[in-house]
Amino acid sequence: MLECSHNPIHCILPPYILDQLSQSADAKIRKLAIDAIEAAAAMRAQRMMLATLPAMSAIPSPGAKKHRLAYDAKHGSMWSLPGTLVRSEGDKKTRDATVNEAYDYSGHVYDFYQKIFSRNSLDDKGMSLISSVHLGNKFNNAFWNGEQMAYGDGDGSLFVRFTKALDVVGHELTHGVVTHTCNLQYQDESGALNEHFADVMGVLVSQWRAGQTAKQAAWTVGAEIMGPGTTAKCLRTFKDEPAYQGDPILGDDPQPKHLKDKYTGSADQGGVHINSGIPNHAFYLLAMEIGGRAWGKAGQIWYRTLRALHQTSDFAQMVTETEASALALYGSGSIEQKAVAKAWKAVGF
Amino acid sequence: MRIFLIESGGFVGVPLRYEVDVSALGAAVKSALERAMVTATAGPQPPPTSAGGVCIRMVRDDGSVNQLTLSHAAPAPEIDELVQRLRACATLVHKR
Repeated sequence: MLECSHNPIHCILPPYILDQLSQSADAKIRKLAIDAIEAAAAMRAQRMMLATLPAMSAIPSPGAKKHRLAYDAKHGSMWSLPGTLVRSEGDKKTRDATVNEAYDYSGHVYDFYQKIFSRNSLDDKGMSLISSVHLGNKFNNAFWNGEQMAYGDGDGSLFVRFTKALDVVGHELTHGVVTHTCNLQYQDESGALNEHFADVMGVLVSQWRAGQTAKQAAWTVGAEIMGPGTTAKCLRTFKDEPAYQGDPILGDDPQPKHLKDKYTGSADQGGVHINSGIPNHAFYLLAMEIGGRAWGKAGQIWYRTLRALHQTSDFAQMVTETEASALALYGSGSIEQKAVAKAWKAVGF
Repeated sequence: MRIFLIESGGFVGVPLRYEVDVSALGAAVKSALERAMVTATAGPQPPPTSAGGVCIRMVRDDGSVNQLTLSHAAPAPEIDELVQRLRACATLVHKR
């Protein structure tokens, strides 16, 4: 059962029981139940508000500089987050490799944003980077919940621990950057752009750490977390090829690489993880056309665009803003500006 | 009765479908699940986020279906605990 620090009936009783108890003849029980209902309602209201006002969820760091906090969720549920603090900024390594990966990789991502884009953490004001590891029991996912990162251990078959790959950490933290910049709505094309920026910055931070050029890079997402029980070598690829086909669990890679194949259904919030394949491929083509290190010119164009977009921006606005960013950064008629237009044209724009 | 957990969103993105071994569930968990399915209030929902969530899909013997979705970004403690118990008895469904 979940632990409760105040009202003992707050956490363990479902709403229908609380409703019954709130009408109890026993005044003490009635009060406890009503307090619990109020607390739950307040928590839901708080979470809804934080989703629309991200600045309020940012935990300021001491000195407004790199400040990492790693927590152990100890296989607890989402409600147990963040868990027990096990490593703070400047602390020595722990015996838990997962904790150290979350700590080290979030530091790499912080350094990447600071050195390449002069950005001070997710909110550009030095907010703390909070990571929780060992979420749930063999939990096959990782996510940014609006306030922090959370990583599952994987089931050891389909996925291994999600902290193992720097691109996973870069992806999740970039959702935080998106939240604190244009805050792209997480559905349809704006949601696909949200996923796209997370994928782009995830691969760029990996390439930056490895010192790879665009040609040397694999351009895959999640390759290092795939387990022995899947035929998939990665979850997504920027190249014009499927990441996996006929996998017993994952099936076929659903990502299109051209606008004509865009998914138009309602699943996946309107295809946010599916249609991100289109701008992903455009970014890959741009990086290959420009050559050299992708976090340089292509990355700069994309980061400038990220700050120019707004909550409901769609693919067409993305095209317009990347072209405007290339123009502003590198000039009219520049190789970079032409390469941006060429990349978008190749994927159907 | 068959119970499925469909995990979606998050980093993975691809929906992962698990089937719960109903025979492994205690009577208390089954009862809590039934009541949660019936009494879960719709209410205002937070906007969708990249965190994703989990959907409990209950397919009854008469073919009727009940679903309940929980966002990882806005967990409800009582449902969250229930999902944890279901996950402990669930295995991944293979597509082929």
